[in-house]
Amino acid sequence: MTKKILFIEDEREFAEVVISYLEKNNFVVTGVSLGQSGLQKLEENSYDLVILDLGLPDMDGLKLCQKIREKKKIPILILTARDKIEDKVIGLNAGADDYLVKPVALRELVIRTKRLMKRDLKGTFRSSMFEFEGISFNTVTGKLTSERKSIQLTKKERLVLEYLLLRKGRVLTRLEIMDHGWGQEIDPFSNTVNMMISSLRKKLRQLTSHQFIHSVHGLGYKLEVNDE
Amino acid sequence: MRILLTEDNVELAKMTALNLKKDGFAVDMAHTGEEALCLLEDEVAYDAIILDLSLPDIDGIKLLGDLKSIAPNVPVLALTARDTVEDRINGLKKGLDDYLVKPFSHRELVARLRVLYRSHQVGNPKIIKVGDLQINPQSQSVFRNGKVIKLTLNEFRVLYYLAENRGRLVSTKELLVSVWDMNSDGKKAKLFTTISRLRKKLGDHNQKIIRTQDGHYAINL
Repeated sequence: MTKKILFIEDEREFAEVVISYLEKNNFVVTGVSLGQSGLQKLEENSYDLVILDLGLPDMDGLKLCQKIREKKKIPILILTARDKIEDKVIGLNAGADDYLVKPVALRELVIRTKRLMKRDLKGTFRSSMFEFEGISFNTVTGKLTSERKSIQLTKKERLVLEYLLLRKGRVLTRLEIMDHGWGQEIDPFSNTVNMMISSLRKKLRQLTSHQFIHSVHGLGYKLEVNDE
Repeated sequence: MRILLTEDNVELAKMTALNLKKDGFAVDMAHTGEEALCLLEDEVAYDAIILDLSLPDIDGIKLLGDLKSIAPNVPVLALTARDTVEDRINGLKKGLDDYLVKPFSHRELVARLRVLYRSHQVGNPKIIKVGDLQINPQSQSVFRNGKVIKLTLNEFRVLYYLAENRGRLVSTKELLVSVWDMNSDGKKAKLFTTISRLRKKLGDHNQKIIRTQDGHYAINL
């Protein structure tokens, strides 16, 4: 099936070259030069991937990236002249799934586009934010925020909570949590996992009275949340 | 998030691993392709693989294929000095999920790993295999040769605990505490009944599957 790409780019000549190359590779491409029109197109049609320039005349590209990510679970590839590491990190954390710097080899753009579309069959494209039970969880900074207050998680707590959230509704054994969180770093008979869960619960309790990391006795833990 | 770091430069590997650990990641190191394959075969729990394409023993692209055949759902990011467009295109075509050229920024590496983590399919729950038994904690079910063996929750817990701790003797007390959360004489009788029912259901008439030794139990398959 033909894959559809939305290309948001304001440099017309560059856009034309890229579009014609993508079309030669059997993609159907819609090009727009403004962020606003990009958002509108996304409302009206369905696309398999967005290619996004960060330097748009009407809105900040990173904000646009976040907006698209909030609305759509499709891959976003940033294609920009901004080549600083800082920009790349911010872009990827803002929900982009790949980041390419201009000048770009068009063949690489095509192959990366194809890789992302393939990944789409196996996973979901999501942001680095989780929203659940009135709490927002930034997996990059490790900050948990609710109406009541805001709490900082340690780096390990942050990764373990993300691990549980990505597997919500499923029983996770102590061993599984240990394997993914610590690997060979700790003694398998230590109580590190139990300590971690209890400290996560303690921190979450400061934000909400609802308890959602449940113990499944004799087996492990299960996280159940109302979200989205 | 657990990472298999494959890198033959020991100093660079140590440094990268240290930085990743500081960020909370769990890291296992392999310095050759052979080591990487062994670790991956032993350990199904990796969330991502970082792969140096120039290892001493196996060609990087060949290794990529081997890794993907063992663990098709684990994303692989190449971290390599091979910096031509041709190298990148070839690697991505052969199944790499991302490509980062050395020298690299640690922060970009972390950001790219996090993208792979959040967008990849969450693996299937870990099923413990002991002999011909398949024990699935998710559905709390046990299969033998594709046939389900119906267990009560307590029977399942006992079996699961023994399977998780296979290779060592588990005391009666430990089983009581882990399965019933208490150690009392009343519960002890219940444990004995549970084990005897469990043995019956498993067809373990000679106590060959669940072995008893001086008040300890071990799974023996």
